[in-house]
This record gives sequence, C-alpha cells and structure tokens, in this order.
Amino acid sequence: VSAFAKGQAVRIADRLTVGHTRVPSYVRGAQGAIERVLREFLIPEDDAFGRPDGRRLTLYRVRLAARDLWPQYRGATSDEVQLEIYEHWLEPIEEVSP
Amino acid sequence: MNEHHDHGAHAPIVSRETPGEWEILEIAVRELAIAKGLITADDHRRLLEGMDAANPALGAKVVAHAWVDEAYRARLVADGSVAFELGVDNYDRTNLIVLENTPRVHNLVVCTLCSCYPRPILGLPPDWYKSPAYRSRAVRWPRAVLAEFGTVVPDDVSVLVHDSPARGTASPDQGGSRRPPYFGGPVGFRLAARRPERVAALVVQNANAYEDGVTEVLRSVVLRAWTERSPETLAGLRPLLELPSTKRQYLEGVADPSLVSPDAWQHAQWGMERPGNKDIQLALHANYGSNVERYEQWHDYFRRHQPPTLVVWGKGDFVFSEGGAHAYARDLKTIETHVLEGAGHFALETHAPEIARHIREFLRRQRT
Repeated sequence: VSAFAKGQAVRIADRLTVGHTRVPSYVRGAQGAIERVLREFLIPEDDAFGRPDGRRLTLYRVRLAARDLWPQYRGATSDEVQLEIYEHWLEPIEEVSP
Repeated sequence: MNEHHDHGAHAPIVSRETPGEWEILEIAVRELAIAKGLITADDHRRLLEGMDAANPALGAKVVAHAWVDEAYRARLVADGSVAFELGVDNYDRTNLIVLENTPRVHNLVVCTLCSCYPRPILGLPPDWYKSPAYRSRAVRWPRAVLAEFGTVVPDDVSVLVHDSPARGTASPDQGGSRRPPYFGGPVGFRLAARRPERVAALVVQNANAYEDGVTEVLRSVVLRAWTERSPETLAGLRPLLELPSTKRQYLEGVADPSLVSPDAWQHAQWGMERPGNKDIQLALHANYGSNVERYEQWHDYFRRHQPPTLVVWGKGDFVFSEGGAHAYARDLKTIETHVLEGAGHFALETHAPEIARHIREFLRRQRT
C-alpha cells in the first residue's frame, strides 16, 4: 500500500547524503504534489551498492511549480518540473487550518 | 555493383588510438564480469547489438501510430509499455512513460543525474543530452533551451520539464504537436500566420491554400481519411506511398519527361522505404485535412498583413490544380502569378532556371 495518493501535497526531504541516491539536490526541501503513483522498485541506495535485501518502495512522480523551485523563474506560471521520487524521500505536508 | 573490387592482400588495419580512461575501465570491468561468470561474452555481444539496432525511427513509428489510431494513443499515454507492441525490442526493460504534447502543454525531458534515456525506442542518446550544460539548464531555463533548438513555446502553453533520475524513463517526444505539419507549403503558412512580423515576402510554388486548388484526387483519398477516418479510408492512403505514385508526382503534367532525372523519384522512394518511415508518412497524409481546416485562418493572415507574394505554379500538377494559383489574388494586393506550361507538381525539376529568374526579379522589385 502506497503512503501517498495522487494530488496529495508533499515535501521532498532535505537531507545531506553520502553516496548514491536518486534525488537531485536542487529539489531537496521543495514542496509539490503527487502527479501519479508508479509501482514499487528496489531501494536505489541499497541497489547501487549491490546489497538489495529485496525491500521495495513505491516510486512517485512529483510535480513542482517552476516558480517555487526557482524564485527568479521567468516563464509561464503554469510551468513545472516533474520528477520521480521514492517514498522514503517524501514527507506529507500538514494541512494548516485557518 | 563492385564487381571489380579488389579483395587482395593489404596491410593489416591497425588502430593507433590509445584507449581512454573510461574505455580501459570498461574493458577491465567487462573482462572481470565475464571471468567471474556474472555475464557471458555472448550476453555482452547481444546487448551491444541491441543497442546498435535501436534508433529514433522506432520511436517515430510509435508516435506516428498514435496519430492515426486514437485507441492506441489512449492506451499508450496510459501505459508506456504499449510502445513495445509494435515489434520494438525492450532489451533493457525500460519502464516507459509516454508524454503527450498538446496545444496547452509542451514537454521537455532531461535526466539531471546522468543520462537515462529510452534507448530501446530512440537508440543511444545524442552527446548533448548527456552534457552538463543541457542537464543543468533544461530544468532551470527550459524555454531558453527549447528556443535554442528552434522551438519557441508561447506563454499560454505550459512547459513541463520531466527530470528522469529514477526508474520511469520518459520518452522525449521532440516531434512537436500531435497534429503534425505536412510538407513545405502548409508548414510555411502555419509559421507565417503565427509570426507575421517575421515574414518579409512569400514565394509560393504549387503550395495550396485555397479550396480552388483542391483536386478530386486530393479530396476523395487524402481529405476523406481526415473527415471520415476509418481503417478503410486510411488503407486508401497506402498506395500513395508506393513507387508509381511517387513517380507520378514527378512526371504527371510534365511536357518533356527527359528533363526529370530518374534519380529524383528513385531517391524519394528510397527515403520512403526506410524502416518506419511509411508509418510517419501515413500519419502525415492522414492529418493533411488539418491544413485545409486552416485555409481561412491563412486567408485572414494574407488580408491583414499583405505580404508581397510571388506565385509560380506547374500547370500540370495533379495534386493542386491551377485554380489554387489564381486564388491568392483574392486576398493579396501585391502579387504576381506565373503559371508554367509543361510543369507538374515538382515544377523545379523541369523549370528551375525560369523559376529562379522569377524569384530574383520579384525580390529585386520588393527591395526598390
């Protein structure tokens, strides 16, 4: 069962890493929403070092507004960057009640 | 052809290039992997052959098929693995996601972390795709990067950049919109109507923009496939892609066929026969009606912007009739029209010097 659903608001974790990961640094800490839920894959940090223990995690496509990502961005407000992020790098964003 | 090619002895061919650092690393890792029995030399050879066999025509075939088959398109966009139904070998088990450009959305694909690429359907990535410059700029300045490739995306169209650092490899459909432009004339009119300020004058040779020029053969076969799309009307387009039809475009209406080099239609047909190309051509023919639907838009552009126009027209053209040549004068004030006797659809084949003279004189008059 995947932890996040399509459309859900998420934050990409802002972590320092040593070694291989599939999360580019320019999106760490960024907020966006789940564009679609892909299937499960081996955990890349384990897979890369030849020690997969068979554990799998859901991969998601996350959409980020280009304006949020790049404060100086000059393009349409609807421009986006979309990329694939594994579940353990995603955090839910708490809804703040008014 | 090379009956007299000499297969006799010659000096052995020796490469004097020193292998680079990466090459040495590759050889070392490969030989180690084979020695340890992780892969066999045969596995390695098969993989290389698969990589070499893939090329962008496979992807083009998939896209072209989606243009003409709505049900296939819907399945393909929902599930990229549908792309591998058309005899495309998914040799590295790529998880494909197909992205569709629409009038509202333009997609750009990049892999910022490395160079993930849908190799089974596009072959090896071009070097620029792997360059740090493309990988870093594509996510930050996508519109500028696209403009450098000649694609200016209007502000009311969203640019979606797809960074594919993980498992789902997206397919960069750099081919533009779903409704593709056709050959020179309609492409030119579409561009001109969109950016009138960039056009100083029009030189038109057997490029049709009026109902007057639509012949019965165009209407009953090509346009029917657009207005009454069915397996039957699409099948009717197939003969247009074969040698007799190609030859006819060059020769019909030509008074002196000896002026047309046989290389012309042979070469055109050779291009047509390249793997996957007929599907692309079929899609272009099937969508030709989208040009006819734009005629009024183009007339509006003519009337509003009044580009000075030269029309030269092979009278014997069986695709676009002479009426199409004269019709331009209804909307354009600065216009000269030359109908060439004894010339066909590809009027330049037989009347190049004459047409060149018309162009030179027309342009000279526009300058003064």
